[in-house]
Amino acid sequence: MHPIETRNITKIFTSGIFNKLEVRALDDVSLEVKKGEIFGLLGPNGAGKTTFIRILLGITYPTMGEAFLLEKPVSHYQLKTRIGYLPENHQFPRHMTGERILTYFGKLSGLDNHTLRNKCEELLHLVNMTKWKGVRIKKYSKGMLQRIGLAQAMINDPDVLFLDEPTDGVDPVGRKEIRDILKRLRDRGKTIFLNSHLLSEVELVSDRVAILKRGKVIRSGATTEFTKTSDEHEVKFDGSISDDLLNTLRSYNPALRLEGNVLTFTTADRVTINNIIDKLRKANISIESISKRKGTLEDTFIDLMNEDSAP
Amino acid sequence: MKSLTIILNTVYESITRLTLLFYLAFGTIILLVIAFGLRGLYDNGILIGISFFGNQIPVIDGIDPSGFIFMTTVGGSMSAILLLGVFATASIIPETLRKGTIDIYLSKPISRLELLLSKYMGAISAIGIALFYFMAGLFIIIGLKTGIWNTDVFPALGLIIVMFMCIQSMSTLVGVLFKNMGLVLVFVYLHIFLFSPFLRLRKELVGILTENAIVHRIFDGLYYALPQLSEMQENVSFLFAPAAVEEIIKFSYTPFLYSLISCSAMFLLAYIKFKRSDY
Ligand SMILES: Nc1ncnc2c1ncn2[C@@H]1O[C@H](COP(=O)(O)OP(=O)(O)O)[C@@H](O)[C@H]1O
Ligand SMILES: [Mg+2]
Repeated sequence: MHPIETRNITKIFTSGIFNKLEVRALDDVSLEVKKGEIFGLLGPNGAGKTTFIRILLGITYPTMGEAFLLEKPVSHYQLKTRIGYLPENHQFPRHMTGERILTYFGKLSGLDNHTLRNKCEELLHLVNMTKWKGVRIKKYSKGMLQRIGLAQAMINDPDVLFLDEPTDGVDPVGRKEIRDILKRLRDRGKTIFLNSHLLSEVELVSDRVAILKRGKVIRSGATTEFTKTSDEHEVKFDGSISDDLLNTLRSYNPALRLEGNVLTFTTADRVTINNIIDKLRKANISIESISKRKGTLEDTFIDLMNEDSAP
Repeated sequence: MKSLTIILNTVYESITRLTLLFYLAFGTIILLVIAFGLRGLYDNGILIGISFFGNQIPVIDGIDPSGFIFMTTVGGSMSAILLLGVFATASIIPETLRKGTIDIYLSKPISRLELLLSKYMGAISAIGIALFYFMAGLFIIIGLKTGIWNTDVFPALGLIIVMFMCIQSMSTLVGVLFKNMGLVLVFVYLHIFLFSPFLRLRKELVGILTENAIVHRIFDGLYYALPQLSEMQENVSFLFAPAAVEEIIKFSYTPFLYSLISCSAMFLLAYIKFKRSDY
């Protein structure tokens, strides 16, 4: 069994006493996360990502389906000694200092004083917060809170780490640092589950991703599958293309599109590309640039979202 | 172990939040007033009475006069003790259940029962510390001033803590249901200062409106279902009543016992709701 497994999780929230309003936050979600991988759950706000993590941690109960963490049903709260969690918009008790947060929640994770002391030092250093450890967190910026939150999530050296929007409010340098920390943890065999609506973040660090939309997994797979270079080519030119020329070009590639001064066509065949360029040059059209589009996860993501909302 | 961590942190939290310090400050003022106003009156080294801001209470038939001082002080400060005590702890459950905080607690290897119970005991400990300071202070000041060491303060302290256990059960239940400190204050204060005195006099008051037996039963039911704070308040000061006046005022344990049952039931309800809720 994998460290994280869910089978047909459905969660329906009901609110309102008289006019019962039902929200299907998750709809038949079955996911597996393998040991030692960084898994990214992507989706726009309200897709159900946070709900999914909360169900895995036993904070929210599923309406239907089963969830397993480290080979046990999630209702076994003792297994959380091996879990770390950074909630989105976490609220630590405001009167505490950064260091006290680590020791308090470290003790609740079952650590003894000695281990805790060493671990605290190490993590404060890792997240660059040693200087601020004695300051009450109400004085912290969003980025600093996020760093302390991350340290808190790692205090018990967890085997499975859940991070809900971890780079929220963190500057670009901090984001890079967080990504590096996560990669190092993965290399030590830890399993990391990452929630984000920021696709570029997930793309850079995840081994596998799933895209959630209105509670449904609409696509999942290795990150490389999503980011594969496409065979779409773009030619920017100067001048105008006559209808005759356009027809000639279309004889090489029927799906070729012309929009203003940009020609777009998809092909894997080098001969076709060269033929098209030759014809353009012969017609005295000056070429500004030829580029091949890289299908980033973001494009895939946006495509998927659009695809699905089309009638 | 984890429970102890939560209990200590809850106490620490109520100190840093100043509400508990406010409570301690109030106790200090009362203690100072007594230290200032109270004197023992002696005749050849034998206590013949006490004087409190010039009012003299003589020792009659060998009856210990310190009981009156305790009755007046504890009875007189009771409303303030309750008012400030509730205020000092009302935020504990709503703060714990706040989104972003409860997530972290519930992601730790600790059961929901242990969490709720530890927070509950943390609240009682915080109040207990402040009450101990006040009651032990009274014991020492009155003892030093009059030479009478009235050990009734200690069972009285225990009984006031029982009152707070009931109050905290209510706070916990309201807190779990509404996650809102304002509502906790409203419900608990209404109960202490309105419902409880009303329910105690329900026979007379409801009798004015109706003779309907069912209505009377309903109010009887409420009376026993909720902590009898009004009776408990009174009985704490009755504890100090000298034996000679037992005919008129007699201490009774029953409201405490009934209230403890109600207190357990309310905590149980709070736990069931907490256990079943999504956060
Ligand atoms: N406790 C709750 N009660 C009612 N509805 C909720 C609750 N939590 C989440 N939802 C709803 O479930 C959906 C998914 O929310 P969430 O899991 O927070 O999404 P995401 O983390 O992807 O932004 C949203 O429509 C949200 O309004
Ligand atoms: Mg979310």
